[in-house]
Amino acid sequence: MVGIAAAVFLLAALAGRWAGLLPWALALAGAEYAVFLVIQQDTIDAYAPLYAAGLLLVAELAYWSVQPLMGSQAEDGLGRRRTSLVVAAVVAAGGIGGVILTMAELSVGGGLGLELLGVAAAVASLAIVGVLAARQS
Amino acid sequence: MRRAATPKLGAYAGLTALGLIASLVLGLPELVVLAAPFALVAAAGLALVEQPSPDVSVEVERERAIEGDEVEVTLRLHSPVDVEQLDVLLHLPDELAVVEGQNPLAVRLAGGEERELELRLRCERWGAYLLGEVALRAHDRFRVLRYESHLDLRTPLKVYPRPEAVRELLRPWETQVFAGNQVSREKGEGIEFADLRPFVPGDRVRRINWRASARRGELWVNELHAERNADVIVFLDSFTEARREDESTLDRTVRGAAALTERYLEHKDRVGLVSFGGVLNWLLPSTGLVQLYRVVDSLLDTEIILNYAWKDIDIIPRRTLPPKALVIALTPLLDDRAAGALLDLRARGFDLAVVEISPIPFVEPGRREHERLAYRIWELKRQALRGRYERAGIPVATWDDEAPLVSALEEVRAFRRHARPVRA
Repeated sequence: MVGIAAAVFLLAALAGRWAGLLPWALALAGAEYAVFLVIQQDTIDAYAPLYAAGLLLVAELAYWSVQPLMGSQAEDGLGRRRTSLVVAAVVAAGGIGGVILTMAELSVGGGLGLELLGVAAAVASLAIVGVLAARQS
Repeated sequence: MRRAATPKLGAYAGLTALGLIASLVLGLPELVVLAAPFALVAAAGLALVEQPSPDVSVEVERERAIEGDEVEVTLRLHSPVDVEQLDVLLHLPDELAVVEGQNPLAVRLAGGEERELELRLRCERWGAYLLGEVALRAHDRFRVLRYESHLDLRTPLKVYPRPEAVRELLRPWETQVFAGNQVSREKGEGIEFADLRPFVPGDRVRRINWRASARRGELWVNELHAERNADVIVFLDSFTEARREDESTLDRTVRGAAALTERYLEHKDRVGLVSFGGVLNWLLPSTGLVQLYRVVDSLLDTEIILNYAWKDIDIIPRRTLPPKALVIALTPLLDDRAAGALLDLRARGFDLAVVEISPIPFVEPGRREHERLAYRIWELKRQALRGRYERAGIPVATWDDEAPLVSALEEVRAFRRHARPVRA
């Protein structure tokens, strides 16, 4: 159900060129994966980097589709260059995901330090979101 | 350039935060893996971005063109830093159509590179335009930030009306005192034969008419019509217009005015201009190429400005309408004010001719019976107005799709051949 909702949001965003719907589509896709992981509850999913790379690819292509171009034509090479950047980002995402997963498997015991690092990362992300939201308003 | 975050940056930051918090709450490291790419892209985009400051210049091939001409516009772009994607839009009026090139266009600029974008425009309608309003939008590599700016580099482009064919000009009833190409009624130096008279001492031998002298047994000389110039006032009715998709009565009015002005000035006549409408514009009569440019530049500014105030010709400065001037009015006869002003001009003794820019081709009769009836009544009213003009001694000729300006002028000439001014 969550996955279907994600697909609906994505299709609506692409059809209507509504960039505001894309974060919801991506969040729902992530939520569907989280639900799968909670149900599975076994070992760490080794395919997580692939799923992350795929989600990033969907996000990049979706934002490329809905971005306003002023109705302009692009000169030759711009599309190819952007495709290369997207592919590079997706490959890098998969690689970094693999590294993070490996580190997670190695430090299964957790620890306060790691917890604090995670909280700090989450707080920093929220702070960035807040600053961006303030600048846009 | 004004910087703004794209929706993508906010979304990626939000997804990162959501993923990290969900990972902490649910204890699932995989969600960190899911969030990390978004954080990576956002961070990379912010870290690698350089503030773009592109220089743009606009060059127009020439400042003057004629309707239908094609003009090349070159946009020169230069940036000191790399710009991943620069969207360039040159704002163009509807009357200038792009025939070659892309507008807008997205390009990539390397640091220090100079690029030229060429556009070929077709000038579809006369007018005075200012090109050079450029909108720029720059993107970084990962499209997390957007830079926008708006430049005003206005370069003038004057598109002159397409010349209408005018073969023979209307001759005024009276000429002025200066030399010109009009055959005057007075006798003087010229080449057109006027009369014969007896020889008096002082007459030139070349003037002697030997045939007449042989017949009469004494010397007789030819008298000639002097060649003088004339004052011509081109009177435009700019109160209102009838319009269809790509043309209006005002377009024909301006083209006709430009053609008449050019031909009369070629004949060394003095030409003035009165644009009688929502806004009153006038030019005092003068001669020469400078006057031609003045008149045509003034015509380029002609536009319909709706105005409901009653106006008559008293508001026109006296010097604009010199006595003995030939006034050629170009009017669609749609507005009572212009129609009344022309009758007033005739009543004041001006030599007046009216070329009606027919609005009939621009108006559809309608499908319903009452619409067709209204159209028919409107046509009859126009015929009655023409009749009123003709009774006042004002020739009215129609210029429409079937009858070009040349034939309209010929019709006016035919009327004036049989009509003579009467002075009380």
